[in-house]
Amino acid sequence: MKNFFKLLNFELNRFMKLFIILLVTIAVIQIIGTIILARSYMMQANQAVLQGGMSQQEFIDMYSPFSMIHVIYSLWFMGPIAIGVAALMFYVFFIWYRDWFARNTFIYRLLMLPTSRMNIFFSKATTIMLTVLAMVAYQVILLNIEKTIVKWLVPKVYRQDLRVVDLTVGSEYLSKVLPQGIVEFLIAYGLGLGFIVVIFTVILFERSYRIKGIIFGLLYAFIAFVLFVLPLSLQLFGCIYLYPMETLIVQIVMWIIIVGASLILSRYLLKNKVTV
Amino acid sequence: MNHMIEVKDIHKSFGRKKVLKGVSFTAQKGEITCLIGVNGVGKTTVMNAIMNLTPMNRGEILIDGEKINKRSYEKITFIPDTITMLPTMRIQDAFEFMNDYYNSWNQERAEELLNFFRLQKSDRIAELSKGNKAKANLLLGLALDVDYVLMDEPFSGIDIFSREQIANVFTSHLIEDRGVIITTHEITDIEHLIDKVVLLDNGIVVKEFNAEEVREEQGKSIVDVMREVFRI
Amino acid sequence: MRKYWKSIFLITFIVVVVGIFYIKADTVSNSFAQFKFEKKEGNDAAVEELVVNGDMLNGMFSYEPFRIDNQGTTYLRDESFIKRLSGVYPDMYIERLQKEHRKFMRGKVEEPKSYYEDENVLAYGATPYEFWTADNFKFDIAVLDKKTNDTVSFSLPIPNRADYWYVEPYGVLLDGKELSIITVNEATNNAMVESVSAQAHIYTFDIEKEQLINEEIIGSLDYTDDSEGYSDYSIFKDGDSVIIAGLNITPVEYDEELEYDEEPEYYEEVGELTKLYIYNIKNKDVEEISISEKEDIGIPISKDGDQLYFANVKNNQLSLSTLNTKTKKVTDTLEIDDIKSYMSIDEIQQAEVKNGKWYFVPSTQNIEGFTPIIVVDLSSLSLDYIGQIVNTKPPENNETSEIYFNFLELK
Repeated sequence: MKNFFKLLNFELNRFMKLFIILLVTIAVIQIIGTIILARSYMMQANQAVLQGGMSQQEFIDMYSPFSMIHVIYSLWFMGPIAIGVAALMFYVFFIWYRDWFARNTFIYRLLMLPTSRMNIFFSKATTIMLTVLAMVAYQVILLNIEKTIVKWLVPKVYRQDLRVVDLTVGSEYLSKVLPQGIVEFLIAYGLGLGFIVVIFTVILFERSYRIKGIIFGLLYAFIAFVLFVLPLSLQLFGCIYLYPMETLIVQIVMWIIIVGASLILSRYLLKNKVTV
Repeated sequence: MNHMIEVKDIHKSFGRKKVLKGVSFTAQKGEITCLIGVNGVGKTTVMNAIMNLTPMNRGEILIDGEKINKRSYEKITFIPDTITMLPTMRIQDAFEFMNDYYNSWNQERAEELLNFFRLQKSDRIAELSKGNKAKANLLLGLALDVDYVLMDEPFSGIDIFSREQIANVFTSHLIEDRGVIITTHEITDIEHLIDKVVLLDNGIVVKEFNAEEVREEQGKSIVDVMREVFRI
Repeated sequence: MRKYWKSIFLITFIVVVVGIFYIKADTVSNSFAQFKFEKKEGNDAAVEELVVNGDMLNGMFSYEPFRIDNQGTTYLRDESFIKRLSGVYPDMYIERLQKEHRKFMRGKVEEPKSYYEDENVLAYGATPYEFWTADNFKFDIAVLDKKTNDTVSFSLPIPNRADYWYVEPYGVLLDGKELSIITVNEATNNAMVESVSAQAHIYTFDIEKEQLINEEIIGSLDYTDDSEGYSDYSIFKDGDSVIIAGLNITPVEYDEELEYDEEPEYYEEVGELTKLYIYNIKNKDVEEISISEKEDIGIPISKDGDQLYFANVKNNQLSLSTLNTKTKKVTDTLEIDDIKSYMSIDEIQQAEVKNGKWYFVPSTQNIEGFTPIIVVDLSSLSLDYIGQIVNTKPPENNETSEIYFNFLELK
């Protein structure tokens, strides 16, 4: 356990620089975007009201008041998130492969540590989970900052103030990242964890058997996927029928089976098959 | 119980290429065993196999009569031909890393080696010269209080002065009592220190002999035996 | 410990921010609109069983479903996780059936009209849709004896299915060992012709022999599709009878306070009865009723013996009438004026009847933003309750939220 925490801390430290760059990039683009969007709205409003002879109310009726919704559906907001998601997706692979492919082969050191090799696996998986969650939490903070910026730039008459909670519900994408209740949150990130564990298993297949390993790994991922969607698809095709609670339980059981199998396989591969 | 590393009939192929076709030998604690063979003969593979860094297709390796497990890494260490620390680390960070995970880490000895090799704690690994990198690499392995040390080509691509310095390690108390397996083609520097030689060719052990016996009884050097066996 | 500060900081950061977010999310509905039933006239007991389902538009794209009863408003987001799972409120009747007959209800279509229930039996007749073809090809029939828990269950193909564009089920009846399913089928034979040939069919099955024993056309609902309006039908069962009404629906611009050149924002739809059949399950007789007086009585809503009740909306006025099926005469009329709501005839089809009471809550709101609630005692054709849904917590300053009252249910 102690070694796990040491390794976790170590992995986080290794990612920290890149992660902070990522966070700063996201903040800069989103905040610049918020300012640009708010100011261009105000420019439009001022033009229409001062020169176009429109009343404030007419303008609002026509263009709807400015709110954070305008911001979160813009490329200024979605773009950096997409970059963040892509970076983290990339990191899921990079977190393993960099230890093999760097000039100084760190994988020798990791595999020769006097601790269970699964600690390496768990520390890498936890690093990914923590960075994903930290990015989500960071986005919540950013939303609050951007909301304040909108308050500075857009006068009350033109503004519709929405709370961050409303924004996450109101956005198709944010509601996936921050779902309605804490149970849904745990389910969403449990799914994410399952995904990471399966991908890690695929990587270890490749690292153990190289080209053949890619085939085994993809086959394994496919089986895991099929197993996971089986209960739902069987219902969709009308082969079986389960009440929602039963579906949930079956899905949880499937999750446990898939994650369990992945961990057992990964342990076997790391212990017996992986090669430097 | 015998204190030794036993390599028993190990086989290994990479794709269709059979690299090891039944390699067996032993390396005693307190002796320096030298694995000799031309490049690509599978010396590094043997080392990796001993350390469980690559799976074998067949065969068995025992360390003090036990299969390798996570506890073994407190007893045996491997110094590959490239440094196993992150380039961004300073030597100080590498010390801390080793100290974090290894009970066998000996800080005093690490400091001693640091002086011996004239390295600085504040040196960043990425910024070290090739020779100094090799020294730092050696240092990290030798500062562990372990029974067995495996070294893969410790002299390759290193200038003559560094080589001397590294060779000096073998005569010092740093090696005493340990079991060492070393692969090298440059045996001249350490020929007089080697206890046992294992000649590998074509995936098998072609000759395994005691260097001193050969020297005393037949008056041959290790290089002489190599000439005979490899017909060079 | 100092060594781990980054990890500790990261974990603390996540827990605090996500924690605060969900604490806030938990109380988010506190700021939502809260509704209650407000009585104008009548008897409070009349709305004890009434539940109005609605949605509030939150932000731009997401809806917050809610339910109003005489206790107040509940938002779906505040319900337990398992209730939230499907994203909508389940139908209360189906929910009750699933709770009481969990095994029997497994895999059955969640449509109240697919069920017939009395104190002894629960009968089911549906034409489930296939996933791949998105079409229906078979009858699923099941009968549960509530006393013995015995179940009969079988499936049969829909006969001559290829002759119809669609076969749409409208209700289930049970008479002893005979189960009937009412459907509306549209024939494919006249695809090129402008008029559409739709008929109300009744399929009768012997549940002991598990056979189809009778198929009958009990009413023709042919219509011509034109730009002026469209045709619809209203089918409901009442005791031993099935009432089938063909309707012609035309939109009327709601022109009050319209300024010149302004596009009308709302339309009102007016329905005209074109055909009326009453089928009796006992003697398998179809009676076509032609209404002698060309009166605009709207669409049938309920039947009690010889009395057939009708409802109609026009120009802010709701009218209910009683027609004697024997004499074909309108005997009684109740007019409820000045509802100030853009009502349409299709909203009448969403009204519910229970124990001789007719419950009506139009889904559209009027200019002032209130929605009427009307409960009429049919036998006496008198107003039992008139009131409205009021928002006890209007949105702050200029914040607007759109609210929809979708349909009502009775507990």
